[in-house]
Amino acid sequence: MSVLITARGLAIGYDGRVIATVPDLDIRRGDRVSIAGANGSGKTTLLKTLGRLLAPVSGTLSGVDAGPSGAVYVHPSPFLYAGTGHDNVRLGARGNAGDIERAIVALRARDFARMNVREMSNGQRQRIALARALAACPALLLIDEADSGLDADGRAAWNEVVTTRHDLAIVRVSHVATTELEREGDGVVVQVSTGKSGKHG
Amino acid sequence: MTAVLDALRLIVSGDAEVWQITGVSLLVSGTALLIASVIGVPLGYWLAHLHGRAARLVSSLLHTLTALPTVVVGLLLFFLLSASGPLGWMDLLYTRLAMIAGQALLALPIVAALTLVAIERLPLPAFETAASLALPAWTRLRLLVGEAWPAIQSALLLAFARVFTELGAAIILGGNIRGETRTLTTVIALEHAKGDDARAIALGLILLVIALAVNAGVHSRFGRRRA
Repeated sequence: MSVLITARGLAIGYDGRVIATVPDLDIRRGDRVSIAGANGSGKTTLLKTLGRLLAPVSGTLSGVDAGPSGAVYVHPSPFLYAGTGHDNVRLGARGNAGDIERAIVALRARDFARMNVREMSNGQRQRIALARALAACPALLLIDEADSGLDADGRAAWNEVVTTRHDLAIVRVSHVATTELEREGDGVVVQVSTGKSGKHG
Repeated sequence: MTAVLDALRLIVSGDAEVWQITGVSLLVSGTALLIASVIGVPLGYWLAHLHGRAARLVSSLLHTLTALPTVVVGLLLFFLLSASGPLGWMDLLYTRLAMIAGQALLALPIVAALTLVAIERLPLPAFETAASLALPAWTRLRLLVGEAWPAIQSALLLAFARVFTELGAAIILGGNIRGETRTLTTVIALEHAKGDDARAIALGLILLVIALAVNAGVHSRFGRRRA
C-alpha cells in the first residue's frame, strides 16, 4: 500500500532544540499507529511534526502535507472557532455538503451539530473536532488524545471510524503502557525516547 | 449656572445648527474610523504573523505612533495639502476630506497596534488548527479576527473616542467653515473664545454623551455576548 509518510533519523523539538529522537517510520494508508512515552517525552511534538505544524530539527520527513487529503492534527482539547459545530465541520470540508454530512454522521454528532460551540460539553467539542478533521478527507489523521474524553456513544462512533476507515492512516498518542496497547490490537507502537543523541540545529 | 440652563434649552429646542454640527462630527470621525479599520485590522493581523527583529521594530513603532499629537498630524497634513505643498493640487485643505484624512492617520496606529496585540494573544491552537486544515488565507483572517474580536472592538472604540474628541487636526485641516467643517470640538473652542459659553456647554454635553454612549453601548453588548 502507498506510503504516506516516511521518517528517517528524525529528531524533533522546538527552535532547533532536540526534545526526542524517533525510530524510522513508514506510515501507510490503513495503518494504526500508537505513540507511547512518558509525559513530556515529545509525543505531541512528534504528532505536530508529522502534521507539518513543526519542522523536524534534523533527519528527513517526506510525504503528505498538512490539509485536506493530507495530514490533519487534532488537539487534546480541541480548538473550535466561534459559531456552530456545523460551521466548524464545514471549515474542514471546504463547504462540500456531502463531506460535512458524512463526517457528522460518522461521529453521531447530528443532535448537537447545530449548537453553538460555546454551549457544548467537552466530549461534544471533541466529536465536532474529530468530525471537522474527518470532513477534510485526510489521508493521515493525527489524534492527540482527542479521543480520550468521549462518552460511550462517542467512543463507539469513533471506534467504528478507527476499525472501518481503511482509506486513512490514524496515528494516536496514548499514555497507556505499550503492552496494553499491543493487547488492544493497535498495529504499530512507536516509542518516543528523550535523547540528546540527535544533532543540534 | 444660567449658561448651563441655556445650554440645555439649546439641546432640547432642537437648534438646527447644533444637530448639523453633531452630524458633521459623526460623519467625519465615523468615516475616519472606517478607513483606519479597513487598513489597520488587516495590517495588525499581518504584522502579528511576522517574527524577528524587523517585526518587533514595526510593532514598537506602531505603539509609539499611537501617541501622535493631534496638532502635529494637523500641521503635517496642512503643509502637504496647502497650495504650495506637494499635494496642493488636490485642493483638499479646509474640506471634510482633509479632516477625515487627519483623523484616519490618528486612528490607524491605534487600530493596527491593538489588533496586533489581540491576534498575538490568541491561543496557539487557534493558529495550528487553521494551519492543519490548510485553510485559505482569507478564511484564516476572518476566523482569527473573529476570535480576537472583543479586543479588536475595544481598539476600534478607543480609536473612535480619540478622533471624535480631538481638536487639533480638525481645526487646522477643516478651518472651522460654517455648515461645512465645523465639528463639535472646533465649535466649542470657537464659541468659548467668543464668550458664548451656553453654546460651548451645549455642544460639550452632546460630545460627552455621544462619546460615553458609544462606549457604554458596545460594552453592554459584550456583556450579553459573553454571558
